[in-house]
Amino acid sequence: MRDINAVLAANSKALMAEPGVVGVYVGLAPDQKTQCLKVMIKDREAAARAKIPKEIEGYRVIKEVTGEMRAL
Amino acid sequence: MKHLSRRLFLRAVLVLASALSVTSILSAAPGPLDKAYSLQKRVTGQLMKEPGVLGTAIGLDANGAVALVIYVDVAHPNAGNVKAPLGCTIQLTDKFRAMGKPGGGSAGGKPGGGGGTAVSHTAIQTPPILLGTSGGWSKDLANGYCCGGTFGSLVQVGTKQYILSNYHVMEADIVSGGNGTTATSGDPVIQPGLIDVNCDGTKAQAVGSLVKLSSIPSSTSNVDVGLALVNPGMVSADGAILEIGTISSTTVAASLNQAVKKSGRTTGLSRSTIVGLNATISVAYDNECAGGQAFTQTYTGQIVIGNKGSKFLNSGDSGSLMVEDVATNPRAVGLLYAGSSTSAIANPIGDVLAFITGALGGGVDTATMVGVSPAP
Repeated sequence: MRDINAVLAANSKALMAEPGVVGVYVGLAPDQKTQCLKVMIKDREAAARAKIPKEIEGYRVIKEVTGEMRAL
Repeated sequence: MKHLSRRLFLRAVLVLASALSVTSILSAAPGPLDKAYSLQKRVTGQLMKEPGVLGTAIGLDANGAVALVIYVDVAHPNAGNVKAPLGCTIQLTDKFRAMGKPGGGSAGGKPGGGGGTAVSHTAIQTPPILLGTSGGWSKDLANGYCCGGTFGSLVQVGTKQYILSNYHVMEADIVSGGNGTTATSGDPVIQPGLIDVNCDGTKAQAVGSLVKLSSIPSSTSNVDVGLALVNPGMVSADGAILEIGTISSTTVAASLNQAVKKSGRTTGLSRSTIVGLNATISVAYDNECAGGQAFTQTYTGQIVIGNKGSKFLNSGDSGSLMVEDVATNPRAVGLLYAGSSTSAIANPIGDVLAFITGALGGGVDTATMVGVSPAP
């Protein structure tokens, strides 16, 4: 498998272009050990509509409803 | 649109009654109190339905005049959107709790941590001040609001020391717009920020002068950085941060599950863990205080930190330095600047220092954190 950061770099533009996506990053799966790709989405409705694959190049892709990112 | 939940605004208060002293209130005709009670009866029901509103009470505003006080949860994401009807004043507060055993603070991915302390991150300090405190541009008032954030840490380039915060705390006013001015190098920066002195700059002290770097908006920059040259004697030269103390002059890269902490204006000392790396994040910005959304900046390679319930980072904490969660002289990890009620975002500190070096180093000097050098 390619390095996960390389996979993210290759796919971040397409993922960020999906309506409602506000961020993408390398995170940990619920087991807190396995690296995965995480997609931050602004709300539940957008998360339901977003066309996000469940896996990219063997890495699990997890959607997160985070709200929009704002300067604090 | 820029609002309280981004940088913490304090709306100008319109007071219903004339300014009466407490003594005169007790002996005066019931007029002002009657009006306040009547107002309270009319508006409380609706106000209590608004997310973040904790309660109302008859009290006194900063001038000693009778006003209806609206208590708003400072940590609530909606805190900035609560509007004060005529005759009311907003009081930001922690949630009201039944007073039982003292509890520790918690934030983000891990329980435990902060706890309550008597340290104020918003009060004016006797110089030289410690960082991790309220601060901002001295003229950050426009469109009926004033703005501010956190002066998080100290950096050094050559022989000069600079307060490190964010662009959007120090110099985000880039249009004449609502106040007829824009942030300019040399402008005073103040502690506390306008948001903590009722928008009255005469109640704050100048601690530095703005060095405008315009890190954003940019197609090439990847950091939200604001700097101010320290005024002599006004900032603790060892770079000590409230509730953290001195930090290391060295830095450390972020790693997944790394325990971190920060000291900031709104949530004080708070702790969490790093839950994401190499993030691409899109963040919206205004072009002056309460100016409305003006542009979006997309960052790459960012650090993501757990921020459940905005307990680690909330409006007004922008500019805080994120350090490793160790007891003494922790190393810097990132510069906090954005987030939501689930996630906080930081620029990697290496990117921040590299940007400052490029802007101010003159090809000779390198920007470093002001702190304790590690033992050889």
